[in-house]
Amino acid sequence: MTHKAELNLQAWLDGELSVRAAAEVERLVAADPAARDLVAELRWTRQVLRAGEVERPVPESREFYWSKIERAIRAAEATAPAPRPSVWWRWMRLVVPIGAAAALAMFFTLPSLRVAPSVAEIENHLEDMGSFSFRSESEGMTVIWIASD
Amino acid sequence: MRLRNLPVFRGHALAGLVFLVALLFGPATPARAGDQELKLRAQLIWGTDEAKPKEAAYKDLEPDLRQKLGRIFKWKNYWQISEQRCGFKPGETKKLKMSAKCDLEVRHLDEATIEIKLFGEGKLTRTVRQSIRVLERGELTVLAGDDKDKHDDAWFVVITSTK
Repeated sequence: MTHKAELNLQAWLDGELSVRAAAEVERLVAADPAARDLVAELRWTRQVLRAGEVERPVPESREFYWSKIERAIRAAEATAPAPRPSVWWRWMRLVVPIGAAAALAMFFTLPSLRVAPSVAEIENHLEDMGSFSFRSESEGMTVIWIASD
Repeated sequence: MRLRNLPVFRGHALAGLVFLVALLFGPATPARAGDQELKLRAQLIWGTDEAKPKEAAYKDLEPDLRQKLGRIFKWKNYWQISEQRCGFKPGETKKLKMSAKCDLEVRHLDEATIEIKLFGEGKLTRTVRQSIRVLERGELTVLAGDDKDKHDDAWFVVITSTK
């Protein structure tokens, strides 16, 4: 029996199948002993769950229960002392902006840091000649290949 | 309002100062000196799987360029048919005759760009604009195509900066 057939059996027991699909499953159950065994096991499991599940009544409503948790969290947050920034964090507050500003200053003042466009701009003058370009980073080469038709 | 009370300076006076200096002086720094001459080398190269014809005066390529081309293109042999070296002042245009059928017109457009016009048998076929910075970084600009006269061979025009 396939996995799909097993899923169909479960859906059939849960009443989720169409009339046509349910008829197919019924035929399968009638013909296949493995399918019958699985159906029996599933029915038994469902019955045990229904009968054996312990009811656990909550004295408060669901909304009141969660609002109590929310209030407790807020109270804990209000009373907790703000964490003192670590030495690392204090250093980062100083170093990060200086680093960013220095990088920006180098970018503007050192022309070599400004990345120039690597791919050439190409104009085609003859319509019967197509071209394509590619760039090899490893070889440091921009190629414009002109293909004549 | 005191300058140090501005948000950009608050707590990060040094960073703000560096930032301000960069903004004031950075953009005025040119990419390269405006009147600097650009020196270019153009090579016309033949790519083939055949051996060099005995009567031809083609030059062997320098090993570095031959290896670069060989790593990208399929041909076994690359022979230099001709070579031109030229200096270009900003705004200057020069014509370079690479062979009877191949001419280049190179123009130093502005401090950042050159324009290369490729003529095949007298007809303008391509105009390529390339960054001078890219060339000065040592990169190669290669215009290439199939050899119309010889099946499965190719031609290459390699433009490099000689500084």
